[in-house]
Amino acid sequence: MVEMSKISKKLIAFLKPSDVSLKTDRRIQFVKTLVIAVISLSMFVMVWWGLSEWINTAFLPRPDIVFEAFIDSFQTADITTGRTMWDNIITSSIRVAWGFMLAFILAVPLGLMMGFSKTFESFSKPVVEVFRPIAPIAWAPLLLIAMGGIVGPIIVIFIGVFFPLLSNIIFGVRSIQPILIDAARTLGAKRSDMFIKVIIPSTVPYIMTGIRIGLGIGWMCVVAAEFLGAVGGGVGQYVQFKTEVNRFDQVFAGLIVFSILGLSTTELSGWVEKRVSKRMGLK
Amino acid sequence: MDKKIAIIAIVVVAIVVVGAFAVTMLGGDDDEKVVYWTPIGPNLQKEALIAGQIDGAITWEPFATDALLSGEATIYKWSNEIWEDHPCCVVAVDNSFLEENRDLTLRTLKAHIAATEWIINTIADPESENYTKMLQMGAEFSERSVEVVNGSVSNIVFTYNITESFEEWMRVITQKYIDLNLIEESVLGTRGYADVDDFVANYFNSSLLEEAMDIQPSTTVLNADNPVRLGYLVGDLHQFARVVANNDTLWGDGKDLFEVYGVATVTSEGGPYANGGAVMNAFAAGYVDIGYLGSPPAILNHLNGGVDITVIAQVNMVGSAIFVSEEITTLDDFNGKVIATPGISSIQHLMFLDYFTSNGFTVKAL
Repeated sequence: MVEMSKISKKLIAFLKPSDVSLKTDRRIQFVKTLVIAVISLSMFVMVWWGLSEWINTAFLPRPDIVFEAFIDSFQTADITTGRTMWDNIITSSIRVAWGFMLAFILAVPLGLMMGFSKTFESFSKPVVEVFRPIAPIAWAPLLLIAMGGIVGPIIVIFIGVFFPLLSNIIFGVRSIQPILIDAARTLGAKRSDMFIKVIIPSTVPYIMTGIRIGLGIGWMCVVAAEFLGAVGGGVGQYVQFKTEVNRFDQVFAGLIVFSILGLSTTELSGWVEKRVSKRMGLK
Repeated sequence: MDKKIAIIAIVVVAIVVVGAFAVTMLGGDDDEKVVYWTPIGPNLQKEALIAGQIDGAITWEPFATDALLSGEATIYKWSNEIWEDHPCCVVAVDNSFLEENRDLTLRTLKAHIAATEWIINTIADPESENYTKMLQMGAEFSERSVEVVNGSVSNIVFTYNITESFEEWMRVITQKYIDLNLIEESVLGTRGYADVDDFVANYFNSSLLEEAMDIQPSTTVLNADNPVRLGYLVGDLHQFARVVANNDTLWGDGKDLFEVYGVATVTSEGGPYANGGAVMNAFAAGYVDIGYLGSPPAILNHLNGGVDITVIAQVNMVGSAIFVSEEITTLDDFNGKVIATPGISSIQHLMFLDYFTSNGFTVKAL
């Protein structure tokens, strides 16, 4: 009987995944994902290569030529703009950061208030709904003329980030479980306590989702704004100038930079979002 | 582990932001002379100067004379003082159009030749009735006054021949583009040229001009249902020959000069265009059969973009200028100033780049 009990304990210990085996599984999964990603990207490059050889047009340069232009853009200042790709990345990043910060500062309190107070929502919603359907890029030509090539692009990015962030925050406030609010009330929480101690913390994961979506849109907006006449460089301006002189290898190099910047920003904010959600017990 | 990654991410972001701030606000070599440029269409450059957005511009006629006569600007240098007797605009034809419509191309070219000769003869006789008509035509086309047009035409040399001197200039311009890394030398081989000499010898074709000389007027229009699509620039008096040839009050029977030689023409889709780069893009998109544009964009976008055209005639020489606000009187005054150019692929932009870099300036886009 005792022997049987020992065996069953060993069996349970074997079947129950330990921390070590869980970590190993995760590593295997990571390596597997990495290998698949490398295969996928390699296949993409091969198809691109084949296609550019087959079509044989200046508009689709070979990957090796693009890679050369990509490396060169970081090493040498472009004769027409006097800037390296690093300079352009910094300029575009600062624009996105400014536009994002402005949107964050305005959207968070506005979204929380709109979600929390019906009266405030009734007051603000009509104005918000009038502007929300307008694509941020549609504002670019007007804003670039009205506000100049420095402030104009930042405002375009602000518009791009603001609305997804706002919508997510309002949705976040509305998604708070009524039981939490009832519990807080039962414990004697005032309206202000409820806002600070229940509403704001519960909305954080939704704010993070809004940030992730907003940053993605922010990078799209910076491209449009820089195409149309931003001042002070930027990756979009680089792509625009290179298109005009038909240097399509450099155009593709600029597009790859945009891809890397957009991807790394959204991945980073996605990672932060995951951590926050986990900590808040939502995932 | 997660905390470590978060800290690293924060540190990296902080370094980038602080570094960017330092570069933007504190950076720069005090001894370095920098001139900034920004792309603005010639028809808006004077207004940008008045609004204080720019300190000067490099432009084609009539916009240089317009800025000068407005009293808002002075001419710092005429293009002839920077590049003596430089060529400028050319006529180019889409190669597939040429292959299928050689006769129409020759007839269009003949009208260009006749219109250019008419302009040359008219300018030589400023007292004539034709001169007054020419000024009015120019004023209507460029939306500037007859006084501006009068000043402008005296700064432009109208021509059509592809001469040895023109070909030498094309070699120089192509080489400048290669030196500036706007064209990679290897692309010559990609387009089927052995070297710069071979490119110029083949791409600039004078044989069609010789053939076109013998073309006689036609009693009928040969392509009434399928007009030749002409590409040209907005208000550019360099391309006055096209304006004169399209005028239907000068040549009798209510016909324009193209029709006199049997060709119906129409402005191409999306035209007139802001600059030569846009004409080349329209060629690439298949919107233009025959186009008037600057020789540099014709070189740049043919070699880089593979736009399949051939240059078949000259249009003009010289006729551009750098106009500036009254603050600028010497070369050193350009330090830190903003100069507008019509676009990165224009001859004016190349001239601007060449002039300032060869005078020790660093050229930066605004």
